[in-house]
Amino acid sequence: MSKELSTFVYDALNAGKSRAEISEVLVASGWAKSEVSHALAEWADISFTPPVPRPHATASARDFFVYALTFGLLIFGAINLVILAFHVIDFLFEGATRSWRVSGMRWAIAALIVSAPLYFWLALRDRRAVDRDPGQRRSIMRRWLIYVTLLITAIAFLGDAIAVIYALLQGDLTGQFMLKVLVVAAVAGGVFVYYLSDIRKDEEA
Amino acid sequence: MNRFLFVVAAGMVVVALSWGLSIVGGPSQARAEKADAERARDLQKLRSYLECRPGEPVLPQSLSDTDYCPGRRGGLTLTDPVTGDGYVYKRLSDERFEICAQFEVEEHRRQDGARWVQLVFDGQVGCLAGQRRLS
Repeated sequence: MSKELSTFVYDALNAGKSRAEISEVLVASGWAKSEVSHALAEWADISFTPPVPRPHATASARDFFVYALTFGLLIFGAINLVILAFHVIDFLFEGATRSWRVSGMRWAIAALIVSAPLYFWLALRDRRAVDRDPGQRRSIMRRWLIYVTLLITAIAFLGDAIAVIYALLQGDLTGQFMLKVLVVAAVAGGVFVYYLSDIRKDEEA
Repeated sequence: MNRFLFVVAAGMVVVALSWGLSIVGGPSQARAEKADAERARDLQKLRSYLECRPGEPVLPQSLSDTDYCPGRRGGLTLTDPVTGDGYVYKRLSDERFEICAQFEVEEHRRQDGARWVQLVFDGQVGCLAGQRRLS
């Protein structure tokens, strides 16, 4: 909840403005309806000066749960997708699987089966919530976690590039290796592009 | 554009999962692998038993001969863990032998590893060869 918004509502109520007026003015200035009603709900709807604050549960804890879960699943799922893809690539190039690889693959498969559907569901839900109510974009948790995700994928991308140059210098640049590089680039790149465009919409809002 | 990325991402996940599962197999495959590992271990124990030293001058006629290296018979398994059939003991001469078991996992799905290197396979039957050395 923006501090300026809160202060403004307090000042406006204190100056005797009606809730309807305040709401109108705020919406006209670009605030979403949900944000306006949240801001007004902070102050009790009784006539008293100065305005009486209402106790309310912080939405931020709930926000943290939902977004931390979503982005946690995204990163965990993406890592396991890459691990599984690496194992599959190794199998394609090397043939018979070694026993330690098999159990590693099974773990990645299990992790992916659990995290992927849940992430997609949460992400779609978030997408719909944001389309319906653009005020959601200003959720601090959401923005922070998106930026953290962008940071992690950027680092993955840079690490990928370093690995390629290193392998080139070592003379290790095989088709198998390049395929792995491409997988990392595709996964990290995809996540980066998707959330970058999301954040850009935030900035426009 | 975002929907496209979503679809591509979901597609990648599905492809990776189905490919991975086809390589790794389901729970029955895992059980077969475990049973095969146990059979390989049993054969190795039998081989060390038959090659025991110091020991008898000649190999026994059958595995159930309790006079052969009596102190080393502890921990021996003579039968297949799943089917209960006895492991096949072939006495090739006074010194040479072969012990065989029926393995479940097919050759192209068999994993690499030291224990498989020593086994000689003929179809699903894997045999461990050994020799008594009189030292």
